Amino acid sequence: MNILLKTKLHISATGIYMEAAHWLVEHSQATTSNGGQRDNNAVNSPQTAAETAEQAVGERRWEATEAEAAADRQDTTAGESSLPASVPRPRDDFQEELVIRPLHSGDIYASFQFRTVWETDFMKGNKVSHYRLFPKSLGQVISKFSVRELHISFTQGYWRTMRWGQPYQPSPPGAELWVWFQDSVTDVDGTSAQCVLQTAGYRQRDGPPIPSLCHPPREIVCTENLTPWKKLLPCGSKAGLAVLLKSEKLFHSSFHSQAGKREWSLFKMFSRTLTEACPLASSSKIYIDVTDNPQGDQFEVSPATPLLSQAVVLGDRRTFSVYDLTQQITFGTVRSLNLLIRWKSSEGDMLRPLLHAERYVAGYGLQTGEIHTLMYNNHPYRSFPVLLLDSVPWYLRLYIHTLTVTSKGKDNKPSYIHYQPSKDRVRPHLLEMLIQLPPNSVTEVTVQFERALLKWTEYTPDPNHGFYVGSSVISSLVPSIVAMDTNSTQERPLFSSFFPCKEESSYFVRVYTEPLLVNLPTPDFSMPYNVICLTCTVVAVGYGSLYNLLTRSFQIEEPSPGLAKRIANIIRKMRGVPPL
Amino acid sequence: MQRKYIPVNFRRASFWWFIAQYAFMYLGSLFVIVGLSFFLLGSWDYLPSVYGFILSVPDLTPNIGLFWYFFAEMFEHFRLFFLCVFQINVFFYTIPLSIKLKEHPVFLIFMQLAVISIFKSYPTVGDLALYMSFLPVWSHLHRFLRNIFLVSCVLLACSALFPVLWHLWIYAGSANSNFYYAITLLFNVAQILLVSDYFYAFLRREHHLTYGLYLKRKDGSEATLVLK
Repeated sequence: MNILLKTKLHISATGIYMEAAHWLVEHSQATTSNGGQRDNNAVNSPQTAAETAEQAVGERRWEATEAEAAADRQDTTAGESSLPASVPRPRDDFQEELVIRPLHSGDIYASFQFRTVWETDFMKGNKVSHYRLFPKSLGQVISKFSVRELHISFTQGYWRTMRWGQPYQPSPPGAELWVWFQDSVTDVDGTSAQCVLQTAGYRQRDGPPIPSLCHPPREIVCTENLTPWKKLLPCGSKAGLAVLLKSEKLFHSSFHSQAGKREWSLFKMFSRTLTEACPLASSSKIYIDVTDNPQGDQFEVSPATPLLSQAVVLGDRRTFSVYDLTQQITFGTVRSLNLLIRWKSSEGDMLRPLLHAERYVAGYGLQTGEIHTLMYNNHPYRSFPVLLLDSVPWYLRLYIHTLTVTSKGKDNKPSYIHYQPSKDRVRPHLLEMLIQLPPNSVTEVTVQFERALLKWTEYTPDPNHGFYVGSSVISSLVPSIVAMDTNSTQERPLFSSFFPCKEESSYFVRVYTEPLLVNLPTPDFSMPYNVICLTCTVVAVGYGSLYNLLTRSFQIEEPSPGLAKRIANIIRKMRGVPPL
Repeated sequence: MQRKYIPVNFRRASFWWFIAQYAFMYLGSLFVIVGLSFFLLGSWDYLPSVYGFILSVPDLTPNIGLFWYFFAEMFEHFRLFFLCVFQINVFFYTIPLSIKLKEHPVFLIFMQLAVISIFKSYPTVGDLALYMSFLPVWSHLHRFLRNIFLVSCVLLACSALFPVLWHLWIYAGSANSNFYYAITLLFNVAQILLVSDYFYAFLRREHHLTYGLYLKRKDGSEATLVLK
């Protein structure tokens, strides 16, 4: 029984988008490290600097990335442990890597990946007390709540898919928590993540295998979130790749590309260089994506390295230059590694991602509105189905009878719709649809809603900023670019019947839309006392008038004498004399 | 069961028989409605959704009543207390009104309708229209009405200002909820004034029917009637 724990950190050079942490826990069979069900699962080989070994390791590494991107991982993913079969398998193992991908817009996509593999038996309920590399806090959470799989992510900013391509690990802005419990768990009532991070509780969803999704759309990623996350790594932030994740540079980095000469270096981005690998890591590598630079005409990487690796990432075959930090020669004579990338040309055309989505709110005023979700299918001739999952908070009252799905101007009826209505202050709307996206088209899903007035305590401290609505999730199996014929301008039907695309040449993609910001009508927060007084006054006026009319009767009014006369009458009465 | 006048005499058996008939009819109709709704829906879920909703006021969408802003600004601690206070206002005028107006059932139902439409949790203009459409029945009371000019001016002004301030708050964004709330208050005050004015006029006419129209004081000068 292996427990595989990954933490991921994605940074883009513009400094706007940051995905702080992502954990994946999965249970796989403790078989021999030979093969699995994946197609291109390579045989384990010793980790040498040989090219084939690098390729194999690289492939294994990347297929693990693809595998973890799959939503429901119930089958085995054997072969995760990229360790040689000849060496007896240690109890736990830690690997770290950094993938740097220069984007055509001049930005840098840096993706850290820290992987801890630990062979132990959590399912049987044995008390595990000895933790070495695996963080104890997470292990206790997993065993206490019988978790089978756990994904947590914190994200700030929004990933611009059209400009930067598909991210390796998509995640929505804010915080997201996916949990799969074992079958023995019947009551999903989780507060387990609170001991690890500041996330809210779980929410129950129906349907096996009881996954739970909790999705507050705006969890601010700040240093308080990053520091406990760094503590989960064996080396912390003292050695290895995690030294680059010093908070102050991370959160204040803004990388501007100057006109003309564009340059990027590790020191420029993280304000420090690498001096050593984490001693507890069995592998520590940096990969730079050089697929778009075969002849070295787009950009130049220094210091040069002879190591190369190839892998299929997101359906595309990519080539990487590898820097192995466990080898001393990588650091050179100066005992420090500062990677430098210098762009030569400023042109660049990127392949558009096949699936892309946007979402926005239309309408005016604080009473009604309309949510539009646009899904782009950029494949020239293939259509594929997508699953759209929308969770809209209860204070936006959706009018589902106004739900329309149009593609290319015509109505597109979803083959499956599941809707769970909201209940005020209890649960949000849940809308799930399976839509077939025609090729090379834009599909628009619109639904109208009405905004509710909340109690004054239910507003955020800055109510006029608005309320965030979480991203919608679009999951799909997208046909692979590798399988796509480059002669797409030829007549397709004839060619596709002779060269049909294989089904397994598609990969799973999950796209998150932007979070929405909607304004709700607000009461005046300075007025509770005044409102209570005034309303009670009106009620009292009503009560007073009706009470008077109900309890009193009409009488003829005798005019009362003036004040002087009344006093005189009182004195006269005292004297016993008849009054005036 | 229609009678002109119901003698309340606890010793008479006919009185208790009348009470029994009336209670049977009322409870019977109530159970018929509830039972039919149950058979239509198949479960009892509608009871908290319909009656519970009206009584507990969870939704605070702005309307022309007094409840929405009050409970939007209410401290959570006192919510139940003020909810009870406000809901009691709808119900507790029934018994005093029916004692006072036991010989005038039509006017009694008019008063009850008016009170309900002012103090209910989710009033609408339709409720206002319902009891105002009965006003021509008592056109003979117009000579005893004291505040009718003020009331009609206020009602007209509020009817004009309601949509204006709603638009300014929700669409133009240049006003806030206080503007709309103020008009709500004014509207309800005008309604209360209208209803109590008609009640006053009705009672005064009854008094004049009994004691004559032109009343004189002991010294022969013209008398003025007051409520005492």
